[in-house]
Amino acid sequence: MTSPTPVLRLRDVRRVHGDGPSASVALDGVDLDLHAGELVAVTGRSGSGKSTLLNLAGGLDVPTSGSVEVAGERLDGLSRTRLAELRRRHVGYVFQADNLLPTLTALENVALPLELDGVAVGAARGAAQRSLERVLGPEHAGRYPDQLSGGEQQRVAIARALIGERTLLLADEPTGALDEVTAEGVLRLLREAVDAGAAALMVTHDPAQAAWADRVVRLRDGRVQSAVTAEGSEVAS
Amino acid sequence: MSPLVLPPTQLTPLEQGRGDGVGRLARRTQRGQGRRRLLVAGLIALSVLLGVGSAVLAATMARSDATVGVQDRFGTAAALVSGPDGVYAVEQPSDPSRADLTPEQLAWLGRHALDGDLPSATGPQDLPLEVLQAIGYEPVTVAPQDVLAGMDLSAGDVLVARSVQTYDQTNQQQRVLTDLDVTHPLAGTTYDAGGRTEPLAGREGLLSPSLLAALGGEVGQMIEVPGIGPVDVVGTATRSFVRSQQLAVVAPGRAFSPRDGFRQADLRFADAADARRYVERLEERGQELAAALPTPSRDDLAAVGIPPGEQLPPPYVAGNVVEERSDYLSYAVAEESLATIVGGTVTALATVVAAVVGACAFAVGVRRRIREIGTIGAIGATPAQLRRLLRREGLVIGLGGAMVGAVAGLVLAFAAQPLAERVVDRDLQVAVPVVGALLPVVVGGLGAFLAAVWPARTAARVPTTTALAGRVPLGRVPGWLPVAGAVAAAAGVALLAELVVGSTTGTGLDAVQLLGAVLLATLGTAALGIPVIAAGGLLADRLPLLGRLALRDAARQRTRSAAAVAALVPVLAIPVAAGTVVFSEQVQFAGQYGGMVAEDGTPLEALPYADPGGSTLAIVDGAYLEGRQTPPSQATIAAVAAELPDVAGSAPLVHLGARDLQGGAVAVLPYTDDGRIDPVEADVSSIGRLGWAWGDRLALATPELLGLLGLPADAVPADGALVLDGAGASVLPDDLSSLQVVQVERPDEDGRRGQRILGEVVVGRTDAVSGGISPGVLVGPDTADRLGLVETARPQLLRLEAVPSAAQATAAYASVDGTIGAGAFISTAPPFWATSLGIAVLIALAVVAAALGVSVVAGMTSALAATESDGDLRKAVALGAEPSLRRRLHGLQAWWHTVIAAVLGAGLGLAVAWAVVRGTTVGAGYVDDGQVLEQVRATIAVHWLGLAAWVVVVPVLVGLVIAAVMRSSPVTAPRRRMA
Repeated sequence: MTSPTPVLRLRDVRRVHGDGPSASVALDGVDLDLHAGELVAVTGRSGSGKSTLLNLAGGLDVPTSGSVEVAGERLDGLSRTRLAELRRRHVGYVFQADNLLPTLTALENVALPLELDGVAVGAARGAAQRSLERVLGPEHAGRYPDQLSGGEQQRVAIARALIGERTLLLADEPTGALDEVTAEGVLRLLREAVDAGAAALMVTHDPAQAAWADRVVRLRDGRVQSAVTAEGSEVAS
Repeated sequence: MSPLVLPPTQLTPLEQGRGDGVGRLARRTQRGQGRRRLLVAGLIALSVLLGVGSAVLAATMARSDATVGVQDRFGTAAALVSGPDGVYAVEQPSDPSRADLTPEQLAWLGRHALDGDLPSATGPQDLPLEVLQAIGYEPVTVAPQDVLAGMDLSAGDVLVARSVQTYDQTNQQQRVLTDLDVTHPLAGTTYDAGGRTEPLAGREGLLSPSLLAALGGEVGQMIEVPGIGPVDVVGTATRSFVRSQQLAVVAPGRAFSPRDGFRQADLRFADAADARRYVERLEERGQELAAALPTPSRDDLAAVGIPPGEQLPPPYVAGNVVEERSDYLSYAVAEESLATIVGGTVTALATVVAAVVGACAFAVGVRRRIREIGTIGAIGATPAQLRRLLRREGLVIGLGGAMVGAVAGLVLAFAAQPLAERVVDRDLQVAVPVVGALLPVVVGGLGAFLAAVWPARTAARVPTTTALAGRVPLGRVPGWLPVAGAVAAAAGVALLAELVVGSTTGTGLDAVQLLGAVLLATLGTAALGIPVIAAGGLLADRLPLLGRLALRDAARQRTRSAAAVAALVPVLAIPVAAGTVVFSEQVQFAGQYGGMVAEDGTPLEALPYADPGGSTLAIVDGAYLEGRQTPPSQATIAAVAAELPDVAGSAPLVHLGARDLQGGAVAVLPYTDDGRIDPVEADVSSIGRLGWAWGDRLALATPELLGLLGLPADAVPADGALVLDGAGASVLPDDLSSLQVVQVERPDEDGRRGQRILGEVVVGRTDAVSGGISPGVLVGPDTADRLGLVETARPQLLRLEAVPSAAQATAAYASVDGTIGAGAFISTAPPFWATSLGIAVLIALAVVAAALGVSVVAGMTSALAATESDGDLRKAVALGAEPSLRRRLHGLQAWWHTVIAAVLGAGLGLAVAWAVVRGTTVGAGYVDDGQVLEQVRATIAVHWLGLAAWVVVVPVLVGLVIAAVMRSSPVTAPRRRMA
């Protein structure tokens, strides 16, 4: 069941890199709504604009034109400080690999967004412990990233992305470096988080992974080529 | 996708064909590494520049110092002979001024020249016997009558004879008839005979034939001699002469011929007792001189293995030392080789910094190119080829940087010569030590090469698959490394201590030892930072996020952090070492003027000596007896004065300086109630250059002297005695080297008062041995202005604004330092930089300057660290961290590295300072007193507050600077890998 107010809204978003003859259009007039409880997969070939879309959604990049709203707040015009705050409190990131800071333990990595937000260390670690135990056993809490497998690292990353009251999850090829079994486990976690009420935008080029999504948006040359439901029905992006 | 299957775009094209594929590959793979290579090359160039520049500057200064030092010591003399009577300069035997004197005359003159002057500017007539012997003349006993041989004299004739007025150790006034002074007009109309002033009988005298002819007179006539008056010319004579005059009356009926002998009885003095004493002293002196023989020649010394300057054993007279200019020159020249040491040391330190930072740069370069290196390995390069590939880069960078640095260093050294001349206030001639200039080039180039060796070795050992995956295993620091570091640091300090304390002649071996000591001490100390860095990572658990990230990252990248600390240790150690040495010298210097007074204030010694004219005392205290020639303390003078009955209730004794008065402390007393003057003086006979060691019937200061001192004439009693407060003295700089001191005689019956210039008083000259400033003469402000005196920066010295009263001087003296001896210095308004506030400002400036300098090095290591941590920081920013996290993180890490380096560097600096200070000797140079250089060790003094400020403040400033110059992290997502 999706909520009426989208967690993420892109309207006529256009992103051009460079200028003059060397300018390249990464996104060209993209519209996208993402509601809570919804998992949307973004697919497309290399250079279609998937990563740009993800960066814009998380406030890591600014559109050349158009608007991006997260939790009802327009990102354009926000200061860097406000954007950072937005990312800390509302957005969870899962990257393809190297998600974790190598100098922090698994528990500390999960607690990182809260600590960055000024939450007391004890409270942050308590919340992190709870989040981490949803994805991994407690024995992993004190381990450093280089002591974890790739799948365990991705699970920790998901735990970090889910900590607190995050409403938007952005995953960039979250299973790209994992084997099939581990990838499935990670995707299941994502699905569970979405079913629990989060909104997730996942970039993938693997149709099998896209099948976990409620909706698949296909990009081509920076434009939405198609948007279909899991059943295959055409819908608006 | 298997990591072994790489997209075509990731392959580096390998050129096929003949030649060294690795070499070509090295060149191609180095594209894009320009900035890092420039950084390392620049660092090497900088270290070599510093080393070459320092070596050239040190050689230039050493050569100048050697030249000036030799000149100061020897003047024009070929050698110095020091004996019981003082130090005598020996001119070249081929001195043409002696051509007219026969050996017998030279010998005779030498025997009877009792004046202990340094006759470097005079002829051989004043040479004492020892000197004559030193130049190869055998002692010859010549009777006084030989002087008169050949002269046609008649009974009743008055001989105007020149004599040297000298004083022996008992301060007996001697009149030594040397020769007839007939080339000059008569000077003076009286002579001193047995304490009375006698007029010249009938104004009779002898004139030289040339003067007589010039005056148009004849023998037997009364001739008006300009400046003298009428002279009854009784004869003529032609002989050379010296100095002052005395006269003897020839007994009636005595005729002389050149071949006749002259018996003692024929020589009369107006006062028979004087004559008797004169002859007796003459004979005694001759015997004394004979007893002092032999004084060996240089060859004699060499034959028995005694080097110049060393105390001679029996049967030679104790204290006779022959020191030749040529030997001293060779020693002085050896100073130039110290320039090699200086340049080598600076280079070693700079190269350590450069090599360490360079190693960081190479290591980072390896990490960034690890996939490329893995690809090369996958294609087929052997580990040896990989190592060669990376080492080649280091060699090229090192040699290029070293050559650039060498040229720049030479150019800078030449360009800095005018400035250096202005600073040291003398002409300098640039000296380029070949070894000293080459050493930095070799060391710098080698440093860069070695900086690349370790990273190359590391890269070649990474498994290919690991490298292709872009991972570099964390460097493991061996557990024994800190222990080895401690041992190496201790060994380095021990080597340095041995080098400083032991004799050093500046040989190449000393240079190698010093280089080794510096490298061992520096690198060993830096290695001690490793366990501290590791401990920081463990302790970080409790810290807030920023601190946790910074310290954990430093501990995790232990090799990089240790390198950063290693680069900072020498930079932070050197100022601590230099500052501690200087501070110790200051403390030692102040202590030197403490005087040798027992704790209860009694002087260590006071020696009486006989004076037929009255009681006189030599104020000599233990310091003087030990040859240090420091002035007697106030307590000493006061205690001696208390023993003089005639001065009860008089003004305090004064001290007109000792050190540059060549060994004697002089005090002046006013006339006593019965009109006598009882001067109290110390033993100045050892070096009598000044010639103002006086007897018991002379005033010591004249209006002229007062004028030179800038004192009002009415401050001195009419009879000429000067009373100065014992504590009121100021030192004069080098540009005022002397004052003329005249001897004022008592007024005669006609009220005329003769004046005689006794010589020049060397006042306030800096001590060439210890660098201290000797006490001198009181100078009033007007005199100081007129003479262009420069206010000294020493805290104890300054120009007196006014002649202080006894109470003022005592108060000022007590307020400055109770250990400063009388006649030394008083301080009423020290210069700003000598005050506590001034010193605090100086320390603050030094800390800020050091922090900026350290920041440069810290910035380099931080920049290199940033290249490794930027990926993690981008992640953190993507997760919501403020972009300023990057600046704050590196600022904190820089602080952490600097704190560790500051603590270790302070320890190293103190250890080095201890070694240097222990090797410092205090005491007078041996030339002055004929002894070998004293081996009294100085002690170290630490300015703890300054040290604490150094350790605490500098790291904070460095951290702030780094945080300020670092850029914030870009707000971008981490890169995606290509799938």
